[in-house]
This record gives sequence, C-alpha cells and structure tokens, in this order.
Amino acid sequence: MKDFYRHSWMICALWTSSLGLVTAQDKLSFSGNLQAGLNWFLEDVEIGAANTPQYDDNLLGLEMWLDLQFKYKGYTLGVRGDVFHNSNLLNPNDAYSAQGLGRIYLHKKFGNLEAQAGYIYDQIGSGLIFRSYEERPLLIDNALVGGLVKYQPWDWLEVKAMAGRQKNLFEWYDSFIRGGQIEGFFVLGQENSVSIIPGFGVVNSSWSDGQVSDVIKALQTHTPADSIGFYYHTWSFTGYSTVAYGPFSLYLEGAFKTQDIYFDPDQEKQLYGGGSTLGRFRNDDGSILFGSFTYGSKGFSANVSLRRTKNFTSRADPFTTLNRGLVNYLPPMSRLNSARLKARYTPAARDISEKALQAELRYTFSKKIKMVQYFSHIAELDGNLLYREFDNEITFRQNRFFQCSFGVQSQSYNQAIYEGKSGVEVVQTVVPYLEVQKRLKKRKSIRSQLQYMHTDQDFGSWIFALFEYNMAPRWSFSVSDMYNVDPEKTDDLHYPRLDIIYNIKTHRMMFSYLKQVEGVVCAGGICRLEPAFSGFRFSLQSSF
Amino acid sequence: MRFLIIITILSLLAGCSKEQPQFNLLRPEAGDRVVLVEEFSGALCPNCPQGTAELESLKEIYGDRLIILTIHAGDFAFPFSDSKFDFATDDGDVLLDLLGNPIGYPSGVVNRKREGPQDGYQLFSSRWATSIASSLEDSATVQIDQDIAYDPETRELEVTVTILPFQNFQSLPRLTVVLKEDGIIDPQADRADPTGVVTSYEHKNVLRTVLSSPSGDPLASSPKLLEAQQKNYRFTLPEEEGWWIPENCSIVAFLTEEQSGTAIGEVLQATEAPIR
Repeated sequence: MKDFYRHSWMICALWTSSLGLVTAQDKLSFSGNLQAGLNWFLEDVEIGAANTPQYDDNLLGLEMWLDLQFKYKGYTLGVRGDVFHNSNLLNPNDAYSAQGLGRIYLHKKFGNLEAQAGYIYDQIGSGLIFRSYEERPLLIDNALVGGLVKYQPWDWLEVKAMAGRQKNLFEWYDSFIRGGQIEGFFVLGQENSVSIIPGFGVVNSSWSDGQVSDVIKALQTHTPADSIGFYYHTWSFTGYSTVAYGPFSLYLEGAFKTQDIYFDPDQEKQLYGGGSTLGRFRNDDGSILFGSFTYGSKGFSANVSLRRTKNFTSRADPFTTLNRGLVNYLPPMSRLNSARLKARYTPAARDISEKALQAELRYTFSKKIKMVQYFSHIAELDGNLLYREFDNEITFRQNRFFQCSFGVQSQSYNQAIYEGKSGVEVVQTVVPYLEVQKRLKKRKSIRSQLQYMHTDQDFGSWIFALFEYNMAPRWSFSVSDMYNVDPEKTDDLHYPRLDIIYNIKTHRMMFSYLKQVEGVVCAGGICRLEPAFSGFRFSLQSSF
Repeated sequence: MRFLIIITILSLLAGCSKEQPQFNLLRPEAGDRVVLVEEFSGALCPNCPQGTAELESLKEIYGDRLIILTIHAGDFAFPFSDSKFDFATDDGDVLLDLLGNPIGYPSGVVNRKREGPQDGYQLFSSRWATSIASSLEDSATVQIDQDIAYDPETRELEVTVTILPFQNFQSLPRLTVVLKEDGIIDPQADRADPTGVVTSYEHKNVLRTVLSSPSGDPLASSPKLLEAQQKNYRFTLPEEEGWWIPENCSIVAFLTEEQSGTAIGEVLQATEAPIR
C-alpha cells in the first residue's frame, strides 16, 4: 500500500513538474492524457457478484494510466505511468496491485527516415501476423519493447522493420520478435484510375533457452503417441493488397506460419494409465486467407468479408492462454453491437479453426428512410456452427429533431465453445429493438431504447429499457434496467444502471451505479467472459 | 631382573598410539523432493476433469514424488441438485483466499511457487508438467515422516508428524496437515461427455478437512540441522454414508517456508500416507 501511494505521488509530481517545463521553455511542447477508473464493489450474492477479494475485503479497485508526451526539435519523448490497485482487469476473479513505468519511448523523424526506440505500438499488414497494441478494458498491452525504423525512399514505397520483446505487464516475455514490411502505393491510369496498395510482411519469433527448456519439460510427459518436436524459430509471412476502382474496393490477404509450438485446449491427449483428456501441445503450421469486398454508391453500399483460419496461434510464450502474450491480432468476423441485449452474445475470433463470412448492406431510400441488413456466419473448419447473426434495422429520420430506429436481430451462439460451458445448447435469440432520439430546445436531447431478447437458453429472456437525457455539451444522465423476464437460471432479477456524465473542455467524468449480468465483454475485437458486477464505478478521461 | 621386567612392560605401554581412528557419523539421507499440486476444482466445472486426468497421468510418471490434493472451492464448487455430496469446505475457501482466485479452470498451484514476481500462484494445466518437473529438480532440505494411529472402533485418528531438517533455517516454517479422500462417487460436469455431466464420476484426492490451521501451524522453533521436531494432530472421522471411508482416506503433510515479501510460503517437502 505504501508503494501505491509513493508511486502515485511520483506520477503526480512528474505531471506537475512537466507542466512547469512548458512555460519555462518555449520550444518544448507538452501534452498528456490521464485515464482513471475506480470501482467500488458491493456484494450481491443473488446475481453472483461475490466471492472475489474485492467483494470480500478490498472494496475499492483502481486503474490509472498517465501518458505524458514531450516534443522538442523533432524528437518526441513519451512516458506513461500505470497504477493498479486491487484491480479486476487482469483477472476478473482476483485483485491485481502493481505500479510502475507502463511505457517509455523516443521518436525522431529524419526526413524520409523515422526511428523509434522503447515501447512500440505498430502492426504488419492488418495485424494477422503481428500487431502490438493496447486494450485497457481487458488489460491487454502487447507493446514491443525494442526498436522500429520506417523509411520512405519514394512516395509510393514504405519499408519498415522492428525488433524486440513483447511487454508482459511490467516485465517482458523472453522470446525475441523481429519483423518487417514493405508496402507500395500505385495508381494506374489517369481517368477511372485503379489504385493498388500491395504489401508483404514477415515476422520471426525465437524462443529463449529458458522457454525451450520449459517446453521440453512439458513435452517429456507426453505419451509416445503424442510425442512431438518443435523449433527454436517460427516464421510468419503475409502478402496483401487493396485494389480500388471507382466504387469498388477489394482487399485480399494471405498469411502463412511455419511450425510453431502452442497449447491447444481442445486437442485430445493420450494418458499414461489409459484413456485420454483434452488439451495438449501441438507443433503445426498455420494459415489465414482473408478477403473483403466493398461497394459504395449513392443509395447503396455493401461490404462482404470472408476469412478462413487454421492453426494461427501466435504467442510470445507457448504457455500463455486467453488474452495474454498475443503476438498477432485476428479481428472479429462479427460486428460489435453497442445495444445492450444485441451485444450480450458476442463471438471472439478463434485462431485454431474458423471459417467466417459477414456481410453488411446499407440502403438509403430517401433522406428520411435508411435500412441496414447485416449477416454473419462463423463455423469451425469441420462445419460445426459457432455463430450466426441476422439483423435488419430501419432508421426513420423525420427531421433534425426526431429520429427513430427499429429492427430485429436473431442469433445462434455456440456457448459451449465460446464460454467453455459443457452440455449447454446453442443459444438461440430473437431481439426486437427500438431507439428513439429527440432533440429539444437549448441543446438538450433525449434518447430512449427498448429491447427484448427472447431465448430459451442460458439465463432465459430479457427486457431492457433505457432513458437518456443530454444537456450538451456538459451533462448526460441515463437510467436503464435489464430484467430477466423469463428466467432459466436464477430468480427474475433486475440489473439496473445509472450513469451521470460530465464533460468540461477536454475532460470527461462518468459516475455509474450498476449491476451487470455475467457475460462476454469485448474491447477492440478481443473478448472474454466476465463475472457479474455490482457496485459503483467512476471513470475519468482527461487530455491536456 | 624384576626391574628389567617392569621396564619392558612399561615400554610396551609407551608404544601405544594416542591417535584415534577416523570415522563419520551416519546420517539419514534427505531423499527425493516430493512435489505437491493443489488442484482447484468444483462439481460444476466442465474443464476440471481434463485437468484431473492430466494430473493422474503425471502421477503415473512421477509416482510417490507427486502428491495431488483436489480442493473444491471457487466459482464452480457447488453441488448439482442431484448431488449427494457438497465437496466445498470452509478450509478449501481459506486456501483459495490464500492462493488467489484462478482466472480460469482447470487451475492448480504447484509447490506454492510463482513463475515470476508478478505472477500469481495459480497455473493453467498447460503449465503443470513443466512446473512439476522444475520443482522436482530442487533438493530436499527436510524430511517429513508420519506416524498414523487409527482406531476403527472409535474412528479416532492420531497423526504424529516428525520433521527432520538437513540444514539450519532462519525462518519459522509452517506445517500443514490435511485429510483427503479418494473413491467418492457423485456427479461431475465434464465437457468431454456428450451430456456435459458424468453422473457416476469418481472423485479422487478430495480435500475433506485440514487438521492443522489451513495456513499451517508454525514450528516451535527455527529448524536446526538434524534436530527433529514433532507435531501431533487428532481427528475423529465422522460416520456418514458414502464418504469418510478410512480405507479411502490419507493424510498429506507439507512444510512451507515464507519467502521475503510474500505471505505464502513455498512448499519445502510433502508426504502422503494412508490412514489404513
């Protein structure tokens, strides 16, 4: 606890002293960002918000990120302090406390050459073979700690290379990652021109001696039937291109990965003593094929994407699971819904075996009427259905003061696969929904939502209602309730929520009281199952 | 003449050597390091039977050098409506609080060691084999022996644990003594089963009670080289149908030593012995 206060004061002191620098040196520019979240846990055994350290003893949980950026004569120095105190972000069932330097980097541009050292967020291609990124709601911070060089010898060509080790909270994983990308930009023809943006990327990952030793210890316990070897190095390659012509745009990407050791929790493993279990190491190559076609014209636009994924697990440590140590990024092949009940069952991308198709069609019939049709179909390579969604939404805009949207979404969600629950049926839902927005005088507006989810599986059917009152630009108030109208698991419980948002200049504060049902939480396309929550929540986002 | 004889005899005595023959004391051997895995489970946990099977397979490899203790505590430690038994115990809850809630299941703690300073104690099953193998490489610094007396008439149990150190300790290690039971038949969720539940699942290594304090009883003094210490525990097995069967019960005793900066001690040595 003493450490926590000491480091908090250190960060505050650094912030304050750096503010002084701005005035002292004219050529030095300074900016920053503070993001903080405070949870006050209130036990509610009925909804399952109980039996974690936060509900038992440590009633307050805090997360804070303070980013500081200094620019001077073309140099950019960035420093970030991270503080976690009884936080449930790392493990929703446990308390995590730590603080320290979250990021530091130095960046400089020399003409066409750009160099950065320190903690790097970047990607190769669309991220299929490499992406270092941050998703704070899930405490994902996959920064590459090393160096990055970008060079643009001509306007139509950019080359970049990077190397380093992946960040693991306040330490680094032992494996070493290096990669590069070459990307071009060409325009063919004068009128009705075709633009082409081709690229090629490569990534090499090398296990450390310690990691190799650890893997050997695990593999030595395999039966002869499951015995496998593995390599120190893994290579991943990707080739991609965007071709745009008039209203048409086509993106194609193919990625291949050489043999790599990884843990497959669904793979059958033979046991000494007879029988088998699920979960063992594999050493396979992998591939991804991805294509996305877009068409846009007045009154109609379409986007269709397809992806086939096979054994494309890339980790900075072969023992990491869930969202830890991810080297690459597979975007979800379903859209992230914002409406509460429509978003209740959201599929995470599966890296072992998945084939997926999604399509979105947008129609503008007139200035007043628009329609969106959405379809997603995700299955394992053997055809086993994972997820299917249909959504039809119509928006009626009477004038700039009144707008309403309504539609019906239906889903099939393989809960056994996505949430690891045995013996459960595929969740079938039908969600009719309605949203009304009305602007009032003096920059005030109201928004109201009504959603109903019919399902015979999991928790059963729900009804959700929300009312929001906005007083732009400062205040926003919303109150909502999610009610288990036809419960299958528990009593007919209510999950109320109250939010008060206050904005001033570049600062945003949000105070909430909420009860949240157990469910999948997604951020930036990465999802995980979160337990129920009950309590107060305060968040602050401040730029300066 | 007499004087000559006396001189001769005395001269024989003078020829005796004052040097002592050299020898070393025979000492008990420290023996092999035994590794303890505290597996966290629950009747409603669909992935846990996969972890249990993995541990059973490792037990086939390492034999008596691996001790498995299955603790029903946490998110899934609730009985089915048709379960005969509730395996969750207050002691198990205390151990879960002590070792931390896992992020997912199957999960277990190997010798109460952490992989790194920022890691928790709980490990996913993919880590177990490596962590067990690493712990087995550590040398044993203590020997633990159990003397178990069980009276089948009264069902009274007396356990005498003897700790023999092979080095001097500055710290005050803690002794934990638990009773576990095999062969309990009751429903268990299992994702490998098409129905999701195995109705006649054989539960093994189930923590039934902790005879010591769940966090361990401190020894009387810091252990000194080859100076044995003993602790005594008594318990009466309840008479309940289907479990508390003496033939299926065994006692696990393990010694932990707190490291600087941590509240939880690493397991120095463990031992297991059947009640009957």
